[in-house]
Amino acid sequence: MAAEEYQPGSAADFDRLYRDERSRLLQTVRAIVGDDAEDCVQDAFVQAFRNWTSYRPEAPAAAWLHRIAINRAVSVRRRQKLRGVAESIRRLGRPESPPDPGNVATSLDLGRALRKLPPRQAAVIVLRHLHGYSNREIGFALGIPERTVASRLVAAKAKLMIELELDLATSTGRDSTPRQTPLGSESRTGQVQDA
Amino acid sequence: MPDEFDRWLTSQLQSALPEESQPPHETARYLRRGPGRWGQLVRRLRLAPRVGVIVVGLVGAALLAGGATAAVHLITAPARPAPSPSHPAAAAGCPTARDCSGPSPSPDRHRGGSIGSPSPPRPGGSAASRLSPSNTPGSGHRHGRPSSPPGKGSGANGKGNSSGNGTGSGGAPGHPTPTP
Repeated sequence: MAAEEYQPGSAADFDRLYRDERSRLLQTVRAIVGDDAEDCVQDAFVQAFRNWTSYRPEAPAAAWLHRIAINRAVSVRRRQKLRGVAESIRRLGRPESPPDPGNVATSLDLGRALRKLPPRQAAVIVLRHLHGYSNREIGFALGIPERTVASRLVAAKAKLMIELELDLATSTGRDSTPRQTPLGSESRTGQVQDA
Repeated sequence: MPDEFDRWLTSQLQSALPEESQPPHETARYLRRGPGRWGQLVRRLRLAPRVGVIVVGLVGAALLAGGATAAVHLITAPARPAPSPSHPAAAAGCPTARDCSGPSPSPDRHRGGSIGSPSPPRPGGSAASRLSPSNTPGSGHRHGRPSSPPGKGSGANGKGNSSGNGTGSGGAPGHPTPTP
């Protein structure tokens, strides 16, 4: 996280914050909402800009921004689920169309596994393992106490491993090519080993 | 949790979530949707639901208070008594005092006088008190005053001792009371 100082209310500083943090924010939000990440991040910046004068630099501005963006992503994710349910209802009674070959997993898809996690669990993994945030910064970004972050991280990783195993089992069901994974070397269908 | 998994995760996240090239700063949406006129309007509109909740709450509280007051009034109001057999209303065949006493809902209104008819004239005065338009029957009692001392005819004042609104107009001159 950039340890730069930003002056609340300063338009120039907000521009600088946008340039510094947009990319990182996009990575975090993409782990939660996938293709809707760009819209979500832009909306988060709009909301942050409205509240820029009331921002208090008690926590890093990047963590503050992440908090706004993650909350926004949670809302978007909820809407995505509703859209999915509506789509399922619309499809009722019709034969299911074959999956788009472009969407079929051909390798271990970490991004897809992350999107299957609860939004804040996906965020905690990205914040720690991609951005290298401290517990305090993660706690502020997620709105949870600092001491809760470690347990949240453990739970998120356990869930991610389960999702990856399921994903691996599904994809190797279609493709029997052996893969090198951290969950077990040379995994094949039905042979996912414990990590 | 194995460290191997942590290392793998850290390395794989870079490829799963690649860093995007920075777009032109001018595409930032907050630059277009800053708190301008429309932004301020939207901000004001966001307050509207709160104001609505407050107004609805106040109206609801007032309605509840009114309802409660009405209920208490209905519960604690004394039952309307049936007229006693000696009551003029009963004598007139009215089942209740209200049927004869006009629009006055209170049974206490005729407490001070006879209902529906003026008191009989007393000797010495015609007690020709007249009812004022507002002095509905039963709403008050009217007495012609007794006449002045014998031999002197004086007008009965005809002042209605009304517990209602009206006062009687001046009575006709009283007849002198015959002296024994």
